Amino acid sequence: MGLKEIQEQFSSALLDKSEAFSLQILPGTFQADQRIQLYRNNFYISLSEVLSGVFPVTHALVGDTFFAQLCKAFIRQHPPAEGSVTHYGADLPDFIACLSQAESTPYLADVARLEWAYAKVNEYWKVEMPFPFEKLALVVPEEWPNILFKLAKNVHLICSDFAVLDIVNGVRNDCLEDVVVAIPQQIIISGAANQEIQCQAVSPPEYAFLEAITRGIALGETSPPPDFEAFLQNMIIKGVIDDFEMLD
Amino acid sequence: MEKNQIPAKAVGLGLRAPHYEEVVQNKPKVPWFEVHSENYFDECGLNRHFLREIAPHYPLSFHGVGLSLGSCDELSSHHLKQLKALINEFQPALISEHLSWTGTNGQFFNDLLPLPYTEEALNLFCQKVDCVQTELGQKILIENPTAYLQFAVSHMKEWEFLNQLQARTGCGLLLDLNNIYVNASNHGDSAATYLESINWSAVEEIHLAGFTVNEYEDGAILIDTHGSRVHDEVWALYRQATIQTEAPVLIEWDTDIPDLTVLEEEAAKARQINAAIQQVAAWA
Repeated sequence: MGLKEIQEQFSSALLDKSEAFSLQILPGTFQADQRIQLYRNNFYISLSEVLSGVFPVTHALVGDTFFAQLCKAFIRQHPPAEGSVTHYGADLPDFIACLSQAESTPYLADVARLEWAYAKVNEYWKVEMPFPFEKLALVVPEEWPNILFKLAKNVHLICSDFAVLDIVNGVRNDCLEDVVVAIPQQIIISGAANQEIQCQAVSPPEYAFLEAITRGIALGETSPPPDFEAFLQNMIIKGVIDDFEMLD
Repeated sequence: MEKNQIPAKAVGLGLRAPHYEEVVQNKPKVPWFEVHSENYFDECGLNRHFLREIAPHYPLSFHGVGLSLGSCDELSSHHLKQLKALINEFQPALISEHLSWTGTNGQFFNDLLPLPYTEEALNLFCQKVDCVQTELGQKILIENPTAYLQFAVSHMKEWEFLNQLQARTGCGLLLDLNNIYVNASNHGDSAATYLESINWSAVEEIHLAGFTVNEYEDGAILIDTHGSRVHDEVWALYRQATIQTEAPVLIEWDTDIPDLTVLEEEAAKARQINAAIQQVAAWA
């Protein structure tokens, strides 16, 4: 048996316990399948630990048994595509969204989306980017419609039909009883320099404005939310908006 | 001595996230740090930031787990590019990878999987090491892995495979004494023969770590967990090894990571052994 065939058979045996295993292994105290089981355990357990580290609230919401089954199914269908696991788990929210077993918890996929965004903001080193107020002051009022505000690099936006931020905070603070789940929530996750990660709910018009600027839409083409000046100032202070450019 | 050189027999520690703040603030007296290369690939990542803070004060050894050199897949140019950028920024004293594969057909298993020790595997591994060394413009070290099974098609011992790999590619060797002990114990091989047979002149880094014992009805198997103190049997191998080599030594601890003081205690044990061996050599 050649190297390629050995590696393909080994891979199949890791992914699927039922896969017939015909590799010739030297005999010893343990059978070939017991030895492969050690590798299989390590594969599933190590990646389940990675996922639990990134999605602790999702884990807490569904419990150990369901989360272990969820991880196993996900890992089998989506093994890492690279030698580093830094980005592993990005597909888990979409996987949950398609899972019939999660139909009774329709908010679960969005909770996982929020956790993934939080993890990514947390991994990012926040470089201080002072907003260029002086440059903005030079823009004459006639040119304001051409301003395109910029979201900071480590900002994520999440729009959900459920109160996912309240759910996450409820799990973290162990006070889930009062959370009304079926309320839509729009959330910004950001991590400005020298600040704790911020997860904040915003109003639909505020979310729509932020979402529009991610698509490169200038101020004049957007519908600024009520009390826009205070909102903009708040977003700048929190490091959500850190720059602007002038569109032609 | 240049900043990025590691002194002979210096006992280094693995730099892990729980210790970042302490290392940045207190600058503990550690002669060098080992880091897992892949954890620092993201140029905007928190890990990379801490490495930038720490690197000016310590020599570094970059230890990779994800190049999958033994795989029949082609080398990942993306992975190699990230590794090269990391090396260019930090200029580590040593760069290492494993005698293993981690994935095939684009799927990765987050583990160091065993190779059959055949001519075909040796040819492929040499080709990959040549390619990496050419791309990086420098030598890499290859570490002996743990393996919980042995392929019937293997027709050479691991140390023969490593010696031939070294002779054909000019790579260095990273000898993990815990792995040698775990494999010898699990497969009924002789760790002493391994140490007698390896090409010591090529050994440029030594690893010491802890294992755990899994008990089953049929018997026990040692698992290379890197989650405990170095066992006495592995210290005994280190006493033999340190007579043979001036290579720096790493206390490796990757799971259930304890306080830095525990790692420093283990490092002190290694230094005591070095000192005792030196005294004996002087008397002789």
